Amino acid sequence: MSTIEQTFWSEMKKLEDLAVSQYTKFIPELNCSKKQNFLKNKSIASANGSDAPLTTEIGRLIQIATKNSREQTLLLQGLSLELLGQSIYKAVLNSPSLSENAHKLAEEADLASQEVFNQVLSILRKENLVGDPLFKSFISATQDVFGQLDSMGALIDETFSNHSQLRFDDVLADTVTELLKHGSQLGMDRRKLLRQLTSALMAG
Amino acid sequence: MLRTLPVDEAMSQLMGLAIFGEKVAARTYVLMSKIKPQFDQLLRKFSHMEGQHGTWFMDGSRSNKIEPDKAFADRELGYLIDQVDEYYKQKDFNALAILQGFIVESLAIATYEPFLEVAHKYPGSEKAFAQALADERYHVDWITRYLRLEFFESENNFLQLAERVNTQGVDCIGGSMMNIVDCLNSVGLSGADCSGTMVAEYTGLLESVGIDSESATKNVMGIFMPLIRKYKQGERTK
Repeated sequence: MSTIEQTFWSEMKKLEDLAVSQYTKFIPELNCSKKQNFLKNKSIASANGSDAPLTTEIGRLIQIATKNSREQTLLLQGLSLELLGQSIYKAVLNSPSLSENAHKLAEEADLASQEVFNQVLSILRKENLVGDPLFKSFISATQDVFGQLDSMGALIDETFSNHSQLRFDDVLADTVTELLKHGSQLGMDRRKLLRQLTSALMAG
Repeated sequence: MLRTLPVDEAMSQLMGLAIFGEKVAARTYVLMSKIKPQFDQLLRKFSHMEGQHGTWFMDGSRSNKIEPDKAFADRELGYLIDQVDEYYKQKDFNALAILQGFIVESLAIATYEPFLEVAHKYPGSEKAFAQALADERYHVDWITRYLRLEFFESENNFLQLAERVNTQGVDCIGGSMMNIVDCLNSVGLSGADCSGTMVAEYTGLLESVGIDSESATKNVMGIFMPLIRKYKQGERTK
């Protein structure tokens, strides 16, 4: 893997590690084998590239995204950050300039994330956390993280956009689109959700 | 991160954009009526309504001792006027319908509606903004009906048109929204919420003509994201 790919996977590993640690603590059923296997993959386990400013920002994101309740973990990590991960992995898969290995890893990570995400949807429906109550909980769980995500955009583009087709604005637009789709299927008001997401991205 | 500026300055910029923006809107509807004379009567009526809003807002500013910031408005509106002129030159009525009837009106609705919450601080402005809001919704309603009929069973053509107009139109009007966020914050509103409302309003309008929600959201958000980033970095968008 190139240095830039090492950096990319090294930072993604930190985010995936956070997901696993949050799920272990609050929602063990989301710790699916696909995600565990992905993190055990040699290329991921040994990825050690680093970029100081990006590492600092990712560290800040991890700090904000570390939640102390099951519900917040479910809505931030399970619903929102899994979708963000999928948008990132899709962008990697659509970047022909990245290596075959990067594509394989992205495919594996995407499948693992989809498995977790589907379980999250099923938990929310089972627990009847839908509609307006879901919207209120969603705002409280995600508001600060969306602000931080947007703040990282310029740095991420600076680090990766010369080496891939990954443009963070497109990634976030894709994530918002997917969140709207699934959010409205869960009974959240689409217009209110879009307004909230745009507003949250501007904060922070 | 909530940036603000002195309330007087904020109101000068907001009223400047509202007054001169309404005048641009009045002119745009006249140009549209020249391209499609079959709608002349209605579009001239729209133009008259927009002109009236400008007059009401000017009167309201005077009575509240607010000096509308024309230089600010000119800077914001120049890019819009260039686009309007270009579409008029090409006799592109449908592009003007999206630009004026959807994008510009979305900005107006997203700011006039919340402004009603603080309008009592500026005597006389509440009635003017409430009527202007109702009128803008009336214009949007007609534009929606027109576009639905025009692109009935040809939604893909509408998607292509919207994507073409959005590239400059959302960049321009969304950019103005970003440039007034701090003003809105300063007068007691949430600029971020107004921006979110504008995105939701405009995306909803595209959907109402037949663009699927995923394509509409992805396209509009894709153009808005760089504007949001510029705002957060303290840069002006124009």
